[in-house]
Amino acid sequence: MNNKKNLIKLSFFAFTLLFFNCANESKNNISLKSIDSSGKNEKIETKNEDVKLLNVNNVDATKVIIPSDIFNSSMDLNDIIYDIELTPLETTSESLIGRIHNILYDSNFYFIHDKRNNKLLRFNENGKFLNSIGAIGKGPQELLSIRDVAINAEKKFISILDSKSRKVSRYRYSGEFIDSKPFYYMVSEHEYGNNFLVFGASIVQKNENIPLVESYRLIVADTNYVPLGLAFKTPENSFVYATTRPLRKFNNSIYYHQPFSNGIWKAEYSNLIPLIKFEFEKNGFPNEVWKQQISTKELRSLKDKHVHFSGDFLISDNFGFFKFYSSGKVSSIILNLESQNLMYGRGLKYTNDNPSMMLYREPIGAGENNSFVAKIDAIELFHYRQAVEDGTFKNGLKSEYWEIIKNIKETDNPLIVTYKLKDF
Amino acid sequence: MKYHKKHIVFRGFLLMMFVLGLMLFFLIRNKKEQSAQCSTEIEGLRSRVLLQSRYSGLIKIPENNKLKTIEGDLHYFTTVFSKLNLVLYINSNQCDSCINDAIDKVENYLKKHPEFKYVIISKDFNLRELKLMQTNRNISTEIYSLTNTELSFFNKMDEVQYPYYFTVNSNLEVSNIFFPIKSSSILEVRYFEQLSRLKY
Repeated sequence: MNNKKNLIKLSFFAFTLLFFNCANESKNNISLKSIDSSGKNEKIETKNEDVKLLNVNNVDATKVIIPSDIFNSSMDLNDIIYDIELTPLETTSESLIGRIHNILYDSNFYFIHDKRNNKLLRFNENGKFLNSIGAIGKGPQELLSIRDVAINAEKKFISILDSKSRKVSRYRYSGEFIDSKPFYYMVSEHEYGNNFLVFGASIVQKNENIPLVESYRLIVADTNYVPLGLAFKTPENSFVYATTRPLRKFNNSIYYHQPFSNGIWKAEYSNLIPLIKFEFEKNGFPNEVWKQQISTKELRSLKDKHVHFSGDFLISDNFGFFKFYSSGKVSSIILNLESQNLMYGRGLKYTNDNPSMMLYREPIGAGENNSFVAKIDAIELFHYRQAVEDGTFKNGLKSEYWEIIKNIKETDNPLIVTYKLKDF
Repeated sequence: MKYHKKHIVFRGFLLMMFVLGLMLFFLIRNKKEQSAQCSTEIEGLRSRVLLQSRYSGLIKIPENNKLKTIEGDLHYFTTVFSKLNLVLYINSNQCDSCINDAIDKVENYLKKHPEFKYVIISKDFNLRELKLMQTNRNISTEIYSLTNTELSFFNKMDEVQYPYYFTVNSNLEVSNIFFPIKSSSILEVRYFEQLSRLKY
């Protein structure tokens, strides 16, 4: 009888142990299902403890003090800009660009992303159109939208994030399709690191049905999109206000700016490195607003009252470019990363000695040998040409530029401008 | 025995009340959701009516202004609007899906009513974008670009940040302003039908 009792006790104990073990296992193992429009049910597996919360503390970041006269002065680049080159992008019915959203550069090719018109076009360094990448349609290898574009310069492929079909498709530079992977969570941006990816999630699509990544703005994942690290969890019922491309890659480094944080971080495989923290001499935007539960209306009021970082930036090996707003005014800052010197101003200072300054535009991308890549719309140079031809003003530009400008038509594609900057 | 029977009846009554209470709870919850949805719709329509009334009244486009075609040719408003014509106004600051929706609605109506005519007037789009828009979206009508972006009528209307329709007659008087509603097309069809009756 006693033996029987002991046996029952033992069985009960074994069962309880087994039950809790299974329950624990199912609690830690997380399976993420694909959410692309193909309807295929693909899965990726991870464990809760394998997904790190990345440290977003930016106390150790380089402090950049924004001067109080940032909107009262003009920027004098006359002595530091050099090697300005103008490259018209070939205009054909196939290569027509509506509006440039981003320019990527690798292996002497320019990749032009026209987000509004769902186009990704490749030109060579002389501006000759080579091919388009990613066909729009409903077929298996086709896309519904070209939301974001990223390059893997090491493996020589370009990838397109299609938020409508909820998939990422990879192509060779020639436009040849490689493969396509579904989303497992909603993302709006992506960049390739060395054997990892960094995804930016939009503030609107909060992944509410996927608790693992819910409300996180930054997701570091392996090449199968299995999340490895998460950062910047936005509070519930907070403001919905987006900035352009918070996730960017320049010279093989991935940078992330959390909107309304006053900071920029460098994203790596297993951590975030605080890079820049903006502080203000006067009337600066409060710190860590992104963490607070405030309404869109309140955020708008804060933006109206304070000097704030627009979210537009470029970081090269030597320089950082940043744009700031204050009640309708815009000002740009160039930071020399080595000397920490700043150049800033609302506009540019023009002198008769350097007429080619009129070709300067703020950089969109980093080019070869520490050069910067910007764009000028053809219509701007067309109007300049008209004014010169009308005799309204005299052309001061060198003949190499004028030879290009005199052939420009109003409806031509934008032109690429590249330039370099000297230390200051 | 009698006591036991009473007990069963009482229990049955309690169970029924519980089920009825549960049904009522779900019914109320459902109605609450419906009413919240209705009030959002009413609020939306209210803001539309207010919008419509804010932008009504006699508006006239100054005569010496020009429109640019996507080929770059310039035409006076008076040439383009030699008779009553429907206009869809789009601005590059409006959301892409709002613009697409407004174009789709008028183009779909056009498929069933080929006699219907309209033009698109745009602001802050470059000519290449307009050319791409016309080709990619198979737009059958002329697209013009505003050359004078400071015209007070368009500036005032830009505060709304939606594409909208209106008519312009040969005196360049603006009327029949209508803001399309993205989620529905009932009002748009009615609007186009009313305009067709005007034989513009």
